[in-house]
Amino acid sequence: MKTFNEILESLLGKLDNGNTAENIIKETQLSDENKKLLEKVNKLLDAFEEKAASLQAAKEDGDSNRKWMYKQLERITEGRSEEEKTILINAMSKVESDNLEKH
Amino acid sequence: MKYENYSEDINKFLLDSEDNIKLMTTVGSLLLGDIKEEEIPHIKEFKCIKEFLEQPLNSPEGVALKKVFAAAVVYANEKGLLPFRLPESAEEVANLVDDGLTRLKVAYQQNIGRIDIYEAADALVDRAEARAIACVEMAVEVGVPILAEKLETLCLSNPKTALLTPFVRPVLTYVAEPVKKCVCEGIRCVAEVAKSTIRETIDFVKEKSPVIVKKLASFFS
Repeated sequence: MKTFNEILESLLGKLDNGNTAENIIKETQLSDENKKLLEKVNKLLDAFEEKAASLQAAKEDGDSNRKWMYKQLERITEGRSEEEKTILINAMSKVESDNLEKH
Repeated sequence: MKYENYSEDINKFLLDSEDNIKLMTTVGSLLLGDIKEEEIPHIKEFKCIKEFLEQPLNSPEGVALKKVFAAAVVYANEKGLLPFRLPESAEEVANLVDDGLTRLKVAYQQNIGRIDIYEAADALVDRAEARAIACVEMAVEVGVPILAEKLETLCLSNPKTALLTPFVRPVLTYVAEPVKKCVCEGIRCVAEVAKSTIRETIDFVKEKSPVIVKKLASFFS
Protein backbone atom coordinates (compact mmCIF):
# COMPACT_ATOMS: atom_id res chain seq x y z
CA MET A 1 0.00 0.00 0.00
CA LYS A 2 1.43 3.27 -1.08
CA THR A 3 -0.68 5.94 0.61
CA PHE A 4 -2.35 6.60 3.93
CA ASN A 5 -5.71 6.49 2.18
CA GLU A 6 -5.01 3.01 0.83
CA ILE A 7 -4.08 1.81 4.31
CA LEU A 8 -7.18 3.38 5.82
CA GLU A 9 -9.45 1.96 3.10
CA SER A 10 -7.98 -1.49 3.57
CA LEU A 11 -8.63 -1.51 7.31
CA LEU A 12 -12.06 0.11 7.08
CA GLY A 13 -13.01 -2.40 4.40
CA LYS A 14 -12.16 -5.25 6.75
CA LEU A 15 -14.29 -3.68 9.48
CA ASP A 16 -17.17 -3.33 7.00
CA ASN A 17 -16.76 -7.01 6.14
CA GLY A 18 -17.37 -8.04 9.72
CA ASN A 19 -13.83 -8.46 11.00
CA THR A 20 -13.25 -7.44 14.58
CA ALA A 21 -10.91 -4.58 15.42
CA GLU A 22 -8.71 -7.06 17.31
CA ASN A 23 -8.27 -9.31 14.27
CA ILE A 24 -7.66 -6.37 11.95
CA ILE A 25 -4.95 -5.10 14.29
CA LYS A 26 -3.36 -8.57 14.59
CA GLU A 27 -3.05 -8.72 10.79
CA THR A 28 -1.42 -5.28 10.62
CA GLN A 29 2.31 -5.85 10.59
CA LEU A 30 3.79 -3.34 12.93
CA SER A 31 7.22 -3.07 14.48
CA ASP A 32 7.45 -4.26 18.07
CA GLU A 33 7.72 -0.68 19.23
CA ASN A 34 4.55 0.32 17.39
CA LYS A 35 2.74 -2.82 18.50
CA LYS A 36 3.36 -1.73 22.09
CA LEU A 37 2.28 1.83 21.25
CA LEU A 38 -0.95 0.60 19.69
CA GLU A 39 -1.64 -1.77 22.58
CA LYS A 40 -1.41 1.14 24.98
CA VAL A 41 -3.54 3.35 22.71
CA ASN A 42 -6.23 0.66 22.59
CA LYS A 43 -6.09 0.13 26.33
CA LEU A 44 -6.70 3.86 26.73
CA LEU A 45 -9.53 3.85 24.19
CA ASP A 46 -11.21 1.10 26.23
CA ALA A 47 -10.59 3.08 29.42
CA PHE A 48 -12.18 6.18 27.85
CA GLU A 49 -15.32 4.16 27.13
CA GLU A 50 -15.39 2.81 30.67
CA LYS A 51 -15.01 6.24 32.24
CA ALA A 52 -17.56 7.80 29.90
CA ALA A 53 -20.07 5.12 30.91
CA SER A 54 -19.23 5.70 34.58
CA LEU A 55 -19.78 9.46 34.22
CA GLN A 56 -23.04 8.91 32.39
CA ALA A 57 -24.29 6.55 35.12
CA ALA A 58 -23.26 9.01 37.82
CA LYS A 59 -25.13 11.85 36.08
CA GLU A 60 -28.22 9.67 35.79
CA ASP A 61 -27.95 9.13 39.55
CA GLY A 62 -27.91 12.89 40.07
CA ASP A 63 -24.18 13.45 40.55
CA SER A 64 -22.53 16.48 38.98
CA ASN A 65 -19.44 16.16 36.78
CA ARG A 66 -17.40 17.70 39.57
CA LYS A 67 -18.65 15.15 42.11
CA TRP A 68 -17.84 12.33 39.73
CA MET A 69 -14.31 13.63 39.17
CA TYR A 70 -13.83 13.96 42.93
CA LYS A 71 -14.98 10.39 43.53
CA GLN A 72 -12.71 9.13 40.75
CA LEU A 73 -9.68 10.97 42.14
CA GLU A 74 -10.46 9.66 45.62
CA ARG A 75 -10.61 6.13 44.26
CA ILE A 76 -7.41 6.50 42.24
CA THR A 77 -5.50 7.96 45.21
CA GLU A 78 -6.96 5.74 47.92
CA GLY A 79 -4.31 4.89 50.49
CA ARG A 80 -1.93 7.56 49.18
CA SER A 81 -0.37 10.22 51.37
CA GLU A 82 -1.60 13.79 51.35
CA GLU A 83 1.69 14.77 49.73
CA GLU A 84 1.24 12.32 46.84
CA LYS A 85 -2.32 13.47 46.27
CA THR A 86 -1.15 17.08 46.21
CA ILE A 87 1.59 16.21 43.70
CA LEU A 88 -1.04 14.60 41.47
CA ILE A 89 -3.45 17.54 41.36
CA ASN A 90 -0.56 19.93 40.74
CA ALA A 91 0.65 17.73 37.86
CA MET A 92 -2.85 17.68 36.37
CA SER A 93 -3.14 21.43 36.77
CA LYS A 94 0.22 21.99 35.08
CA VAL A 95 -0.75 19.86 32.10
CA GLU A 96 -4.02 21.76 31.74
CA SER A 97 -2.23 25.12 31.92
CA ASP A 98 0.41 23.97 29.44
CA ASN A 99 -2.35 22.84 27.07
CA LEU A 100 -3.97 26.26 27.29
CA GLU A 101 -0.67 27.95 26.51
CA LYS A 102 0.33 25.65 23.66
CA HIS A 103 -3.03 25.17 22.01
CA MET B 1 3.14 24.73 43.95
CA LYS B 2 -0.28 25.98 43.05
CA TYR B 3 -2.12 23.74 45.47
CA GLU B 4 -0.59 23.34 48.87
CA ASN B 5 -2.70 20.64 50.37
CA TYR B 6 -5.03 18.15 48.68
CA SER B 7 -7.71 18.06 51.38
CA GLU B 8 -7.98 21.83 51.58
CA ASP B 9 -7.50 22.57 47.88
CA ILE B 10 -9.35 19.73 46.13
CA ASN B 11 -12.51 21.79 45.60
CA LYS B 12 -10.53 24.66 44.10
CA PHE B 13 -8.66 22.21 41.90
CA LEU B 14 -11.91 20.63 40.68
CA LEU B 15 -13.38 24.07 39.88
CA ASP B 16 -10.20 25.11 38.06
CA SER B 17 -10.03 21.80 36.19
CA GLU B 18 -13.66 22.03 35.12
CA ASP B 19 -13.06 25.56 33.80
CA ASN B 20 -9.89 24.50 32.00
CA ILE B 21 -11.48 21.48 30.35
CA LYS B 22 -14.53 23.51 29.27
CA LEU B 23 -12.30 26.22 27.85
CA MET B 24 -10.05 23.77 25.98
CA THR B 25 -13.04 21.93 24.58
CA THR B 26 -14.70 25.19 23.51
CA VAL B 27 -11.53 26.49 21.86
CA GLY B 28 -11.14 23.19 20.03
CA SER B 29 -14.70 23.46 18.72
CA LEU B 30 -14.11 27.01 17.58
CA LEU B 31 -10.87 26.29 15.74
CA LEU B 32 -12.24 23.10 14.16
CA GLY B 33 -15.05 25.21 12.70
CA ASP B 34 -12.71 26.23 9.89
CA ILE B 35 -13.25 22.88 8.15
CA LYS B 36 -14.70 23.44 4.69
CA GLU B 37 -16.56 20.50 3.22
CA GLU B 38 -15.75 21.49 -0.37
CA GLU B 39 -12.07 21.00 0.43
CA ILE B 40 -12.63 17.41 1.54
CA PRO B 41 -12.85 15.00 -1.38
CA HIS B 42 -15.32 12.17 -1.40
CA ILE B 43 -13.58 8.91 -2.21
CA LYS B 44 -16.01 6.23 -1.16
CA GLU B 45 -18.31 5.28 1.67
CA PHE B 46 -17.70 2.87 4.47
CA LYS B 47 -20.75 1.78 6.39
CA CYS B 48 -18.75 1.38 9.61
CA ILE B 49 -18.28 5.17 9.72
CA LYS B 50 -21.95 5.90 9.03
CA GLU B 51 -22.94 3.36 11.69
CA PHE B 52 -20.55 5.00 14.14
CA LEU B 53 -22.07 8.42 13.52
CA GLU B 54 -25.56 6.99 14.08
CA GLN B 55 -24.76 5.11 17.31
CA PRO B 56 -25.79 6.70 20.63
CA LEU B 57 -23.16 9.10 21.94
CA ASN B 58 -21.79 6.76 24.59
CA SER B 59 -22.28 3.52 22.73
CA PRO B 60 -19.32 1.23 23.51
CA GLU B 61 -19.54 -0.21 19.97
CA GLY B 62 -17.88 2.94 18.67
CA VAL B 63 -14.54 1.83 20.08
CA ALA B 64 -13.99 -0.65 17.22
CA LEU B 65 -13.79 2.14 14.64
CA LYS B 66 -11.52 4.17 16.92
CA LYS B 67 -9.14 1.23 17.31
CA VAL B 68 -9.04 0.62 13.56
CA PHE B 69 -8.34 4.30 12.92
CA ALA B 70 -5.59 4.26 15.50
CA ALA B 71 -4.08 1.19 13.79
CA ALA B 72 -4.24 2.91 10.40
CA VAL B 73 -2.48 6.07 11.58
CA VAL B 74 0.20 4.16 13.54
CA TYR B 75 0.88 1.84 10.61
CA ALA B 76 0.92 4.69 8.07
CA ASN B 77 3.24 6.64 10.35
CA GLU B 78 5.61 3.68 10.55
CA LYS B 79 5.71 3.51 6.75
CA GLY B 80 6.29 7.24 6.46
CA LEU B 81 2.93 7.67 4.74
CA LEU B 82 1.01 9.68 7.29
CA PRO B 83 0.23 13.13 5.86
CA PHE B 84 0.24 14.82 9.27
CA ARG B 85 2.33 14.64 12.42
CA LEU B 86 1.43 11.90 14.86
CA PRO B 87 2.23 12.51 18.52
CA GLU B 88 4.75 10.14 20.03
CA SER B 89 2.92 9.19 23.19
CA ALA B 90 0.10 6.67 23.34
CA GLU B 91 -1.90 9.09 25.51
CA GLU B 92 -1.79 11.83 22.90
CA VAL B 93 -2.64 9.43 20.07
CA ALA B 94 -5.56 7.96 22.01
CA ASN B 95 -6.87 11.45 22.88
CA LEU B 96 -6.54 12.52 19.25
CA VAL B 97 -8.48 9.51 17.97
CA ASP B 98 -11.17 9.73 20.62
CA ASP B 99 -11.65 13.50 20.50
CA GLY B 100 -11.65 13.62 16.70
CA LEU B 101 -14.20 10.88 16.17
CA THR B 102 -16.36 12.03 19.10
CA ARG B 103 -16.52 15.55 17.67
CA LEU B 104 -17.68 14.21 14.32
CA LYS B 105 -20.40 12.10 15.94
CA VAL B 106 -21.58 14.96 18.14
CA ALA B 107 -21.62 17.37 15.18
CA TYR B 108 -23.60 14.90 13.06
CA GLN B 109 -26.17 14.15 15.74
CA GLN B 110 -26.60 17.82 16.56
CA ASN B 111 -27.18 18.60 12.90
CA ILE B 112 -29.79 15.88 12.43
CA GLY B 113 -31.57 17.11 15.54
CA ARG B 114 -30.95 14.14 17.76
CA ILE B 115 -29.27 16.35 20.36
CA ASP B 116 -29.43 20.10 20.84
CA ILE B 117 -26.48 22.43 20.83
CA TYR B 118 -26.20 22.46 24.64
CA GLU B 119 -26.22 18.68 24.78
CA ALA B 120 -23.52 18.72 22.10
CA ALA B 121 -21.30 21.03 24.18
CA ASP B 122 -21.94 18.95 27.32
CA ALA B 123 -21.15 15.73 25.49
CA LEU B 124 -17.74 17.04 24.42
CA VAL B 125 -16.89 18.22 27.93
CA ASP B 126 -18.08 14.93 29.47
CA ARG B 127 -15.92 12.99 27.06
CA ALA B 128 -12.89 15.19 27.79
CA GLU B 129 -13.36 14.66 31.53
CA ALA B 130 -13.66 10.90 31.03
CA ARG B 131 -10.41 10.92 29.05
CA ALA B 132 -8.65 12.98 31.71
CA ILE B 133 -9.59 10.56 34.48
CA ALA B 134 -8.65 7.55 32.35
CA CYS B 135 -5.21 9.07 31.65
CA VAL B 136 -4.66 9.85 35.32
CA GLU B 137 -5.67 6.34 36.33
CA MET B 138 -3.21 4.89 33.86
CA ALA B 139 -0.43 7.22 35.03
CA VAL B 140 -0.85 6.33 38.72
CA GLU B 141 0.47 2.82 39.10
CA VAL B 142 -0.67 0.71 42.03
CA GLY B 143 2.08 0.33 44.59
CA VAL B 144 4.31 2.92 42.91
CA PRO B 145 4.86 6.24 44.68
CA ILE B 146 3.35 9.28 42.99
CA LEU B 147 6.33 11.46 42.14
CA ALA B 148 6.29 14.77 40.29
CA GLU B 149 9.04 13.72 37.89
CA LYS B 150 7.13 10.57 36.92
CA LEU B 151 4.12 12.65 36.00
CA GLU B 152 6.01 14.92 33.63
CA THR B 153 4.64 12.99 30.66
CA LEU B 154 1.09 13.04 31.99
CA CYS B 155 -1.21 13.82 29.15
CA LEU B 156 -4.78 14.80 29.61
CA SER B 157 -7.82 15.13 27.53
CA ASN B 158 -7.55 17.72 24.77
CA PRO B 159 -5.33 17.22 21.74
CA LYS B 160 -4.13 20.35 19.96
CA THR B 161 -6.55 21.42 17.26
CA ALA B 162 -3.64 21.73 14.83
CA LEU B 163 -3.35 17.95 15.05
CA LEU B 164 -7.07 17.32 15.24
CA THR B 165 -8.13 19.08 12.05
CA PRO B 166 -5.97 17.04 9.65
CA PHE B 167 -7.02 13.92 11.51
CA VAL B 168 -10.78 14.39 11.05
CA ARG B 169 -10.53 15.19 7.34
CA PRO B 170 -9.73 11.59 6.28
CA VAL B 171 -12.76 10.36 8.19
CA LEU B 172 -15.01 12.71 6.25
CA THR B 173 -13.53 11.46 2.99
CA TYR B 174 -15.27 8.15 3.52
CA VAL B 175 -18.86 9.14 4.12
CA ALA B 176 -21.57 10.00 1.61
CA GLU B 177 -21.74 13.64 0.53
CA PRO B 178 -24.99 14.37 2.43
CA VAL B 179 -23.45 12.91 5.59
CA LYS B 180 -20.28 14.94 5.10
CA LYS B 181 -22.39 18.07 4.65
CA CYS B 182 -24.31 17.22 7.81
CA VAL B 183 -21.18 16.73 9.87
CA CYS B 184 -19.53 19.91 8.57
CA GLU B 185 -22.66 21.94 9.22
CA GLY B 186 -22.79 20.48 12.71
CA ILE B 187 -19.14 21.36 13.30
CA ARG B 188 -19.81 24.93 12.17
CA CYS B 189 -22.85 25.18 14.42
CA VAL B 190 -20.89 23.96 17.43
CA ALA B 191 -18.14 26.43 16.47
CA GLU B 192 -20.62 29.33 16.43
CA VAL B 193 -21.80 28.45 19.92
CA ALA B 194 -18.16 28.17 21.01
CA LYS B 195 -17.54 31.63 19.56
CA SER B 196 -20.40 33.18 21.53
CA THR B 197 -19.40 31.28 24.69
CA ILE B 198 -15.86 32.61 24.48
CA ARG B 199 -17.10 36.10 23.65
CA GLU B 200 -19.28 36.07 26.77
CA THR B 201 -16.48 34.77 28.95
CA ILE B 202 -13.65 36.74 27.33
CA ASP B 203 -12.37 38.21 30.61
CA PHE B 204 -12.16 34.75 32.04
CA VAL B 205 -10.41 33.50 28.89
CA LYS B 206 -7.93 36.41 29.02
CA GLU B 207 -7.06 35.52 32.60
CA LYS B 208 -6.60 31.84 31.77
CA SER B 209 -4.61 32.26 28.58
CA PRO B 210 -3.53 35.45 26.81
CA VAL B 211 -2.08 33.12 24.16
CA ILE B 212 -5.51 31.79 23.30
CA VAL B 213 -6.99 35.30 23.20
CA LYS B 214 -4.33 36.32 20.69
CA LYS B 215 -4.97 33.23 18.59
CA LEU B 216 -8.70 33.82 18.63
CA ALA B 217 -8.47 37.54 17.82
CA SER B 218 -9.23 36.88 14.15
CA PHE B 219 -12.52 35.19 15.07
CA PHE B 220 -13.72 38.30 16.84
CA SER B 221 -12.60 40.96 14.38
